[in-house]
Amino acid sequence: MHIYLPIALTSVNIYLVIGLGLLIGLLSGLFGVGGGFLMTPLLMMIGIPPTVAAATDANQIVAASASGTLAHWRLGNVDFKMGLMLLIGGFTGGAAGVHLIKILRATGGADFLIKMTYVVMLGSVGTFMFFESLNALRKAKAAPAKEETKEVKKSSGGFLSSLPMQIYFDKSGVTHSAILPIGLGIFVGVLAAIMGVGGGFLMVPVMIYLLRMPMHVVVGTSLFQIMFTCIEVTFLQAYSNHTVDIILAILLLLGSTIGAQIGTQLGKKLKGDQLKILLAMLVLGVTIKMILGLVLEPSLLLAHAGGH
Amino acid sequence: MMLSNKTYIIRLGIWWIATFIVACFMLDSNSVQAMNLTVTPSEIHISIGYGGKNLVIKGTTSEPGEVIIKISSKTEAARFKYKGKAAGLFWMKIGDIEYKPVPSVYKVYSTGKINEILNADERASYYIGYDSLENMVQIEGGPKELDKDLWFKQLVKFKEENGLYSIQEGTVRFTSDNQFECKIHWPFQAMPDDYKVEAFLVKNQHILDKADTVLKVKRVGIVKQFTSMAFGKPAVYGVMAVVIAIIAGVAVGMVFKGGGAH
Repeated sequence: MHIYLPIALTSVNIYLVIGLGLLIGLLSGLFGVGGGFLMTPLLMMIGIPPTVAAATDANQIVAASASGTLAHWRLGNVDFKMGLMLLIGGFTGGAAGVHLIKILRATGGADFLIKMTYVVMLGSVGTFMFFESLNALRKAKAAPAKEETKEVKKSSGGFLSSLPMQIYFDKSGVTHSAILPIGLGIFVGVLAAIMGVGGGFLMVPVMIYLLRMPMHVVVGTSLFQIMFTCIEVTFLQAYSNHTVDIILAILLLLGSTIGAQIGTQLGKKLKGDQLKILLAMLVLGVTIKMILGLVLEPSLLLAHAGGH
Repeated sequence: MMLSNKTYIIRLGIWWIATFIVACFMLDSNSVQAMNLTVTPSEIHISIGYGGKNLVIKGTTSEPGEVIIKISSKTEAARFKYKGKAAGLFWMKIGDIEYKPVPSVYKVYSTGKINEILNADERASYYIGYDSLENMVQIEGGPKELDKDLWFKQLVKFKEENGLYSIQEGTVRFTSDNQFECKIHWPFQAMPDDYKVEAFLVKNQHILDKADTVLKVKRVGIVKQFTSMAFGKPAVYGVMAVVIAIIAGVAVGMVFKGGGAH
């Protein structure tokens, strides 16, 4: 069964797209990642133009994070003060990212930037996850009975604590300069606009290791700010680039929301580190495919000029 | 004087009647011989479930022979980005290239190999075959030392991969001595437009007769509304995209909570 996407100007198999959403949702439920970093390249592989794929994915993430934020807000796991700081940065970064894409589209460099950002981000996240889970598996084998000792960083360093505008975040129980979350927000916002991702897979480690927030607050706050960043990115992409395909977004969120529920249930029954290695290999596989695409001579030397 | 005048009028009358009869005969014979062409359906609607369309092209000819069918759009300038090696390492889009004039859609179907059944001059003057398009096109931009043949072939390859160009020989068949038929799949990639469908009756390498009709492709319903909203009212469209996503997300969140999965 085919469905015509009015903005992507492509006809796609409806089951393929819902299946794609289901698969990403499944991974998201299993591993706690947003899945946006895999969704956009997979959409490109089924023939969606890169700019439409990225913008529509941001739209789809709005749905996923709205559902998650609601659940976490009820549990009291959202640090609104921290979220707001990240948002201010995220909004600035998002606007800059959308504008950057627009300039680069005129020169034909947008797709290259999207691909390069993916290669770098996926490559590093994939490699990090691969070795982290490999180490965890080795440790589990070598000393299964040994109690894990957590090394907690007491300070984020002299430079960060010397920054002005130090604020105490009572929900997370940490003190930081406002510049830190705003700066990190900008960084994630730019990436969200370029890659069409919520930035969760970057934001979560940043909050744990750099902002030293407790894990349960991290997830809720991350979802909260991802939702708003993606609302902004969706609107700006629709407004200035006309690249949001509502029909594609609806099909994707249909699949991903159901997939996320199945994934959450499945995740409880399976071994985390083995799954993490599989995900890492999947991520690295996508990265290698993208690198080959950049390095090998394409069979076709022409590409669409702009979106329309 | 009177008589000669009368004779003159009678002669004139006979001449006119004769001319009229000959004209009638010619018109009549024309209507018998004229080639006829239909496309079913003659109008394609791009709606939400659209994935291209199967079309049947039928026609009659005055006599048996070879038939070539051509479906094409108006010609225009086609702009692309061309890829090349940047920094000697990565393949990326490095500049603009423009072809003009070229049809955005160009499909040819025939009973046999077009280069064998029709002479080169008529192929060129009726724009039948890729060679005739290549002769007409001019390429601007692109790499500094531009190989026209190579870059025209790239255009054809690009269009073929998108289903917009094709030459399918042997796809037209005669169902009787003077009736032909061709079944095709119309590509979903073809934009809304009025396409000209032409059929040529070919014998001894020459075109004997031709007929044409129009194939209309247009957006309808929700596809039309979304497209006009996305481009005409982008702010409304953007807000709608966000609102739909939030409602869907919250609704699923409710179901999730209701199901007690947490």
